[in-house]
Amino acid sequence: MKDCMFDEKQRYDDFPVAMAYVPWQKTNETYECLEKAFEEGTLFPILNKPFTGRRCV
Amino acid sequence: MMSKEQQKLLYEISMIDFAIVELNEYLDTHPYDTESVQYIAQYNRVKNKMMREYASKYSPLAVRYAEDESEWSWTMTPLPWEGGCN
Repeated sequence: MKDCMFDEKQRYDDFPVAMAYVPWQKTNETYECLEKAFEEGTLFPILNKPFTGRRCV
Repeated sequence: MMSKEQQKLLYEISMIDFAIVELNEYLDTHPYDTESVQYIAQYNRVKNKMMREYASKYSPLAVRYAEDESEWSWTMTPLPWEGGCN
């Protein structure tokens, strides 16, 4: 995948403190079944992080 | 009250619309991902076809799909808060 806007070589230690950083989504893999995606609430398995009231599963 | 067939088509439109929104958000940050660009284009075509089908069989879900010839069905079918979606 042609590199996206985020430059991997940028070292995290150079980032200003107290800022939140979200790791880049590297895969475009999707659920085969759209109904599954619709029920899970995401098209991308990698983003499927159901909140269960305790630790994320 | 909606027929089973109408509910099914509406459900399918909702599913595909959801996938399009998901791909749209992904593509906003990954605009060079050709595979996903083709994916969303294909889904858009399918969705438009389903929206036209829904409009011709039942009523338009969006004004741009209205194809009425004699009366303006957009205002005469129940709105979502009038139970138009269940």
